[in-house]
Amino acid sequence: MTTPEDEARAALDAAALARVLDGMDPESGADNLAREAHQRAVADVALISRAFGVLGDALAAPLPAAPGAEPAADEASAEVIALPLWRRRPGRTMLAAAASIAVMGLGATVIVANSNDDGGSSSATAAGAPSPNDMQAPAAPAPEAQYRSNALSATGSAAGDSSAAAPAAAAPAAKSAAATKAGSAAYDDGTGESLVDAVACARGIFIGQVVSINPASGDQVSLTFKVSNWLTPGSGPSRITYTVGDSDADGTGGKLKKGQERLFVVPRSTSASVYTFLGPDYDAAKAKIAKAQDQDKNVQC
Amino acid sequence: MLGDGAAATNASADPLPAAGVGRVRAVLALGGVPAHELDDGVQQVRLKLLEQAANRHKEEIRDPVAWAVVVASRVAVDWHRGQRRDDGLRERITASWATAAPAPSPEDRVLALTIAEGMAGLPETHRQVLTLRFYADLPVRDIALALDVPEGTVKSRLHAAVAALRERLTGIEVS
Repeated sequence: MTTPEDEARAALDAAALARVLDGMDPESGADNLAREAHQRAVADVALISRAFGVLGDALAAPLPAAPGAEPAADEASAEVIALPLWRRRPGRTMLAAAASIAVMGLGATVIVANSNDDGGSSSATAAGAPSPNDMQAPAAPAPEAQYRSNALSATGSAAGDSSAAAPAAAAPAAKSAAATKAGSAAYDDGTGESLVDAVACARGIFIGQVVSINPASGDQVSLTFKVSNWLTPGSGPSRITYTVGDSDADGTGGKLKKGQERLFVVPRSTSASVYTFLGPDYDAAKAKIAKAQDQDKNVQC
Repeated sequence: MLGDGAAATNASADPLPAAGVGRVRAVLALGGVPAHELDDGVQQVRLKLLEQAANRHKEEIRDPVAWAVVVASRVAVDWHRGQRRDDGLRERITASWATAAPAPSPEDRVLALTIAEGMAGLPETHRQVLTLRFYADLPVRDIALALDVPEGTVKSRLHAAVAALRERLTGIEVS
């Protein structure tokens, strides 16, 4: 039951809130009750503002999934969902256009690319809306000298760790068909992104585990990895999310699954698929990557 | 022409500054646009920026991020005209926290979820002014100008919306 005191307090609170929202101080002749009401209003507005900061931080990043789509931690696997092909990644020729705008369906896809861009960051930004996670990721490829240094040290370390193990066949799981066809160092998945291109402009090269796979826009997926060993760049976060092309939609066969441990090469283009190499001995994979790196001198990122 | 340089005339540049992408996504999400529509929403904002930049008769954009945020709030309101409201804001936030590092404090989680639930019951126009005021930090006058509505309208929406959210704060303790 509302008492007169409650009503008086509510009226004071409402008046105080209005003043606070209008940026006004308490009236000069305000009594203690009015001043207390003003302080309550200031505190509540500060709380709301703080809540929006927390909400904004949570919502600015691409979600791991639509509600309920995040697989349970012990779920055996989560296959990449085949996504509609009507928004397939444009070919290089299209990306090389100075600027193109395509409006599709309800939304609009804007493609803006450098003339020498091979589907890199600016086209990725425009066509795929880079995730803040991606932006937090070591997006820029390491300078050549740094990469060489990293690759060599990583290879040396791995060799020392696995002296008894024979080098595993570096089978790029998601690219097995293309790899077999194209040879050891220049796999082409049909999207114009060879291993050489991918390595030269990689957003990340690392050993880790697939934590989650979720649909993004078009034929892209959002992959979250738990990273155990960064190769390029030399260090990075232990958990990272990339938006990449859906390997299933590429038609190259091989689906990434949650829980898989691999050496991953995440290309610069958000429309290209991830190259993966089987472990546990990654020496051969590192050698292929180093070889690809030797061949990438003419690749422009 | 955009105010941050030659972005509008340089076809190779993204019209939406990288720093603004996350903010645009957040404003769209706070406006109730579902997660799977966010990328399209961001592209719509980019398109608007390009259109604005291409129109010499329109006013120069001095702050592309702030401008993009306002456009995003409009996109969210427009989205609701033809779509069902997204009721999954709470789940989306919770899912985001599951992978966030560092995760917000328990107090902030309670606070944010309380406000998110309160937002869900508000009209789109009220959500819009709340987002522009408290997330984008725009003053009432700028919101009114951006939305082309009288300041009094913005104030009345803001007051009503904050009062509704304030009701939700009753009973929770946040340090």
